[in-house]
Amino acid sequence: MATPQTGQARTPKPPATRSSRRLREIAAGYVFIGPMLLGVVVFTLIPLVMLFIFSLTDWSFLTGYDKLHLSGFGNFARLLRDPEFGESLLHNLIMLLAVPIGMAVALLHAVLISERAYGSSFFKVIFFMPQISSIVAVAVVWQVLFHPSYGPVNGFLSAVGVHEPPKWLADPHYALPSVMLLMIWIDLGVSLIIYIAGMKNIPRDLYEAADIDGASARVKFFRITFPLLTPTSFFLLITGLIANFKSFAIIKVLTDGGPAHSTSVIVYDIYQQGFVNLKTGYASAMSVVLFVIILAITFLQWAGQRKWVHQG
Amino acid sequence: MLNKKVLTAAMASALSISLLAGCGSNSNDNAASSAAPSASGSASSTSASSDAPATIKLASWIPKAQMDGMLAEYKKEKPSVTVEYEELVENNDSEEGLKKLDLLIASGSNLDVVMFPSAAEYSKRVGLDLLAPLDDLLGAEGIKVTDEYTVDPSLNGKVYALPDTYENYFVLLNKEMLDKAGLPVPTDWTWDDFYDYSRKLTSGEGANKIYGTYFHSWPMYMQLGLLNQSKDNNLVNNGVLKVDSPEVRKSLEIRNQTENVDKSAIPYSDTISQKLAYRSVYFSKKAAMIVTGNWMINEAGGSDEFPATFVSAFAPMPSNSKGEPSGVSPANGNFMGVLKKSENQQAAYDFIRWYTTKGEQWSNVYSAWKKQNVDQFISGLKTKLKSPDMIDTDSLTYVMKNSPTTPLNLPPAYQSELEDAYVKEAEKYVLGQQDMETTVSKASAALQKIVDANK
Repeated sequence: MATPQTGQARTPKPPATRSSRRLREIAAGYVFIGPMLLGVVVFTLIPLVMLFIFSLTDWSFLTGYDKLHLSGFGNFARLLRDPEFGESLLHNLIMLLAVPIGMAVALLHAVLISERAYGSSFFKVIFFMPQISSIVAVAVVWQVLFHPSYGPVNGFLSAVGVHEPPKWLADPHYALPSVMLLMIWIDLGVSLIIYIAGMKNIPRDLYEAADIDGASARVKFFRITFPLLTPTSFFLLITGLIANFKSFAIIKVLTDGGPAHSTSVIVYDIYQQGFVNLKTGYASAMSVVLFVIILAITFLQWAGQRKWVHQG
Repeated sequence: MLNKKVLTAAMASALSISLLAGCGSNSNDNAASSAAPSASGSASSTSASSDAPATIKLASWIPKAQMDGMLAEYKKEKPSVTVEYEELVENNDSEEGLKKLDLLIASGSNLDVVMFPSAAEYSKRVGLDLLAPLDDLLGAEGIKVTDEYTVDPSLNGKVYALPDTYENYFVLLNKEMLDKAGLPVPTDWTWDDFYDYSRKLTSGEGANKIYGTYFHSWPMYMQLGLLNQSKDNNLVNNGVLKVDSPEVRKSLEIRNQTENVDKSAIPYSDTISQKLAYRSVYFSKKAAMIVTGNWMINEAGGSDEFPATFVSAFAPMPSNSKGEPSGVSPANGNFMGVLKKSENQQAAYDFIRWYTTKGEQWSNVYSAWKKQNVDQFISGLKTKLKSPDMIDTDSLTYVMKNSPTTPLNLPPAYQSELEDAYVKEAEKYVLGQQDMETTVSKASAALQKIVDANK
């Protein structure tokens, strides 16, 4: 084989030299991504493979590996018959609504802030506040605001004449919408900043041309701003849906899945089965189902994006 | 977003730790066994094996400051044995502590002695085959567990842990409020009398309202009319459901009557949405009486976090109807066991024997040891408490001497699933979402499913 020395001695073997240089470049490349790759393998890929194995067992993580017995697809069969899992899945799907609603609110605010408001950076900071605060602190504040008997929210409602206002987080019918409201509020800041950045990228001459043609603000929004922001919307939708499906912290600190399981979601069930009931196998099977659902939703969105996303 | 990432990272690392533990446990064992031969070597040259120098590791949720005194005392008893203490949580929260303990065990930590806060948690871990049976060691010492302890910890005919603290339930009352309302400390009462007390102890309106009573969010507070029975006091006893029963109906009625009809108990919606804590509710005088257990005897005399500012009196558990004895409650408490993979079975056993008997006597905790003297306990209590005058001795003595306890009815390993399913339906009833009969029939169906799945 050609060594680096022969390559430097200008021997007329260009193909071998080129391939050896290429090999060295590839090696150097791997050295550079090595640490990251190692991290991904140890912390993501191996646990992922183990998750699939565990989902086929009735193992508990407390006992040693010698107690690992394969139980086939028993866990998945049990999941199908588990009404609680079905409920949690339904709650997850309802909660997904928070993403498009939140995006619409963010877009509206983005347009208002960047075009109609003085001191736009002030508003950006204000709306970003919930995102930089600890979710536990945010949850405690909302717990107090939503206090069923003397909270400010219900105080206001009864002041304007609502009899028996909802008990919000303590009411099985209102708990899930309350949680969604909070999610929208917390994530508003991020969507807002990204929308504002997206709007900065829209060429001004389009608006000038529209002005010359006498287009109204509404037409400009629906014919220029909205279509040219679709790549941004697509990004927010896809990351938002994934994050929404995985939400756990807010449920854990706000409601613990209650009252009467009305806010339990798949990830909370996984935690409950895996770390409270100590059934690692069953919890792993739930995780696999969640994995497949998120994968499917993401694929659907990629397939659907050609229909509505503006390709620059 | 950030929180979710941290969480996924934590989950991933927990998984990979358990993965690494699989490979790493050998090295741990080596470290432990390299110490063990020298120990056994010196033991054979000296005397009995129980005096061999050994280091055992104990983990629990109990604050380190509290445990240190106990361990120093054990050092005096057995100078050759060192007990290392691993404090699992900083806030005395046994539930959080258990989660940490599970992760420690899963990661192959070389713990020897572990502690469980209830019979249900103990039974769950025995179901996972984590604990060593202690029958041989008890036999070698020549004792029968039922002769030594008031609680029989046997599961499937074997003893896997020794009962430590002894818990039964009673009603803790704010005596100042009782006196103001002109009510005597109850000695023999039913739930109907309890409603009456609760109504009379309720005063004020709005945010400053003082309630007669408070029921915490624990599942036991949805079973108050069931756990005061002298037998079959679980939701499922020996595989037979007891949901469609007068006792469960009574339990639901207690909550509905006080919270929704009389409005003399803090509403459940407040309890769960505000995540109320029973200590702060009681000590900040938000509620005049709480159903609680005897771990609160010490605390009624004041703790660092909640100094006692009023005298507390004690009353037995109410009975369901006149004629039934009041004061019946299931015996529960902390349990101490030795892990199966511990290298120091004998030393660990010796330690838990001492801890559950003389140790608890030394720290003056009401324990399951039969030889503990109630009067001595109460007088000892007075010398240890921050504010001993804040405990009403007469009613405490009465409650302790007149609380017939039931034999420990160990719940099945899937008890937490049963309670979850029951509480889910009971919650709907207490929050006024469904009526009593729907609740009972739905809960019966859900629990039967769990029993069938775990057969």
